[in-house]
Amino acid sequence: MEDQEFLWLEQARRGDQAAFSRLVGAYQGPVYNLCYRMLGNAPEAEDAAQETFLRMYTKLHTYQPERKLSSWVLSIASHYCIDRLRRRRGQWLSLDEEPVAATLASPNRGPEDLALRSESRDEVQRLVDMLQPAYRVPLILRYWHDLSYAEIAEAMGLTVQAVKSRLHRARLQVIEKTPASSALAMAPAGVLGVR
Amino acid sequence: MTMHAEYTMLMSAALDDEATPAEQQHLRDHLRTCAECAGVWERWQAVDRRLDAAPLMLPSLGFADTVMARIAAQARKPQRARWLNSRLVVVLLAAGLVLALALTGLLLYWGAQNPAQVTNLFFAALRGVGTATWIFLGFLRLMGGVGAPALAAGVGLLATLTCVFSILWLWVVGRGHAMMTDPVAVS
Repeated sequence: MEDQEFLWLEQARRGDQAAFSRLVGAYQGPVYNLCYRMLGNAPEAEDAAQETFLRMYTKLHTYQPERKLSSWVLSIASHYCIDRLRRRRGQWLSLDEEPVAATLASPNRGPEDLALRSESRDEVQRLVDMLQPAYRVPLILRYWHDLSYAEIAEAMGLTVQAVKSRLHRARLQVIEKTPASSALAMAPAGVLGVR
Repeated sequence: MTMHAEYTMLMSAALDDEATPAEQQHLRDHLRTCAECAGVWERWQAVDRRLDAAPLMLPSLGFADTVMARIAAQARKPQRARWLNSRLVVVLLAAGLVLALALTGLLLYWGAQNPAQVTNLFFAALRGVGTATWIFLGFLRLMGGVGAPALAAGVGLLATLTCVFSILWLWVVGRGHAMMTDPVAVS
C-alpha cells in the first residue's frame, strides 16, 4: 500500500490530479478524524480536513521520501488544527449544536443503545476538548491513529521523551476532569493487570 | 498523589505498550503494595478503554471531490489574477511611457522658445508628482495595504495621470504665454 501511495505521490508531483485524488481518498478518514477530534465539531473538521489536503497539494515538492507519508499528512493536519484552535480564542462551539450522532446512526441499534453510545462519545469528546492543543494531538494520534511514540514524535517534530511526557500529562488532565462517578471512569472488574 | 508521580508515568507508558519488561514488573510490584496507586491504575485503565473504544469519525460522502474542486478553483484563481494584474500594469506603463515621450517632445519644442519657463515648469511638475505620491501612499495606508501587483498598477496609473495633467497644464500655460506675447497669432 505504501509503495502504491508513493507512486501516486510521484504522479501528483508531476501534476496528475487523478493521482492526488487517490491520495485524498486514502487519507481522508485519518485526516478528518484527527480534525474532528482536535476541533470537536463536524463542520469545522470538514473544512480543516479540506484545508489540510490543499496545503498538502501545495507542499508536495517539500515531501521527503524518508519520512512516513501518513506522519507527514497528519503533521500538516495537526499543525493546521492547532493554528485554528489558537485563532478561536475561547469561542468554543457546543457539541449539542452539531449533528454528529446522525453520522453514526445505524438502523440495527435501538434508541437506548444509540443514546448511551452518543452520551459516551460526547463525554470522550468533551474531555478531549478540555485538553490543551499540545496535549490533545499526541492523545488523538495515540488512541485513534494507533501511532507509536516514535511515530507521534515524527509527526509532531518532538523527541520521544517529550511525547511520553505529554501523553502522561494529557492522561493526568483527563483523569483530573473525569469525576470518579462518571461512566468513563468505571472499570469492569478483573482488569487490573499491567499489559 | 505527588508521591506516586513516578508510577503514573509508568502507568502511562504501560497503557501505550511502551514500558520495558523491567518497568512493567516494577509497576506491578508497587500496585500490589499501594492501594492508592491501585485505585488510580483502575481509573486510568477505565479511561483508556473508553478512549480506545471511541469511534473513528468519517467525512461526508463526496469529500474527495470537494477537495479536488477546491484545488482546481485555487489553481484557476491566481492565474486569472496574475494575468489581469500583469496586463493592467503593462497597459498603464505603456500609456505612461507614450505620454512621457510626448511631454518630453513638447517640452523640447516649447523650451527652445521659452527657456526661463521650462525651469519653473520642471520644479512645478516635481512638486505635483511629490504631492500626488504623498496622497497615494496615504490612501494605501488608509486601505490597510495592498499587494505588489496593485501597488505597481497604482504607480503606473499615477505616472499616467501626472503626465496627462502636466501636458494639459503645459498647453494652458504655453497658450496663455503666447497670448500675452502675440495675441493675434493665437487667435
